[in-house]
Amino acid sequence: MNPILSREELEEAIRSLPVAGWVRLRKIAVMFCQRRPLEADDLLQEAFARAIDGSRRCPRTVGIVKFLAEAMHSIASDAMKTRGRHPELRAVPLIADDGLAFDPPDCRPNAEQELGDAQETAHMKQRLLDLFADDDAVAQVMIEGMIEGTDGEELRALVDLDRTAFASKRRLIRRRIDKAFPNGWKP
Amino acid sequence: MTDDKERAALERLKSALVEDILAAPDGEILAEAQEDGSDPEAVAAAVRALFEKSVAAEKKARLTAAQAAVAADRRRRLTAVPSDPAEARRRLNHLLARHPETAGKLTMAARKGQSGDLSDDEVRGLLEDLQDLGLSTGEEPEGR
Repeated sequence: MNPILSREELEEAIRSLPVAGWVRLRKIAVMFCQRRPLEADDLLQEAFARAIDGSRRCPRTVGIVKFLAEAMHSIASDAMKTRGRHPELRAVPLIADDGLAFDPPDCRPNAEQELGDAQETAHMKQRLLDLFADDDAVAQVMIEGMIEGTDGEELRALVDLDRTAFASKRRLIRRRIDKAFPNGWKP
Repeated sequence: MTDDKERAALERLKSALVEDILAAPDGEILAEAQEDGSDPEAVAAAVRALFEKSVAAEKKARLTAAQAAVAADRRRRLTAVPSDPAEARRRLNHLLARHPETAGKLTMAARKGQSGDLSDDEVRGLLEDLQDLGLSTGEEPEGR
């Protein structure tokens, strides 16, 4: 058996998703669009398109929602990278009115803009951490671990919780963030 | 800390939260949607519609590509002067028979084509001339 789902199998697998599967996909899209120049619906549609046209291939061993989540992650990351490389395009005369050759502006963010972006991102991160400042130490350690990139099992060992308690605490963190920023992660 | 590092930190947090969304039971996902004021059925219908839109767009793109490939192949067959001398002669005769007015305007060589006095190179050259005049020199079926 081919280890990769065929196009027909993929379509069938997606169409067979339960209501919760579709809702889950939407939530993941919203999450990956946080602080990115993307809309959740566009991200979802692009992930579907790449799955269907074969640009991304789904191994049989990977769940369909996880596969689409990985596709969205990749597309969203690329969108962020290419935004910096492809500034807005517009037509300009090659020779200016004064007869001098057109000198294109430098579209990269200047030091001041970079500092502003860095401060805004740092402020956002602090606001997320502050949501748990008055909470139990476990939630604080967990969100700090997530931010530092400590992965699931390692983090679970660090906070010494069983799987159920760990999942429950992680859900509490996610839901508190959802409720604190219903319109997106904006400081 | 630079903006890149701060961004990376938030990206790691997002990945961890997505892991949680993936791990949450269906019932909790539905309950969360309702808690947030969304109708899960409506959300599901909207995402399903996006999927079907993507499927339709991809099918359309495939159809357009297939049509372009067929058209390109047809153009290639219509414009290609055959390298086989017998086939080139057959096409020339066929063409002159179909377009006697054109044959009449052409040189004596064209009329010689019908009598079989032309060399293979002359036949191919004549087919190219007819092609330049806008006549299809390929395998276009009758009546099309």
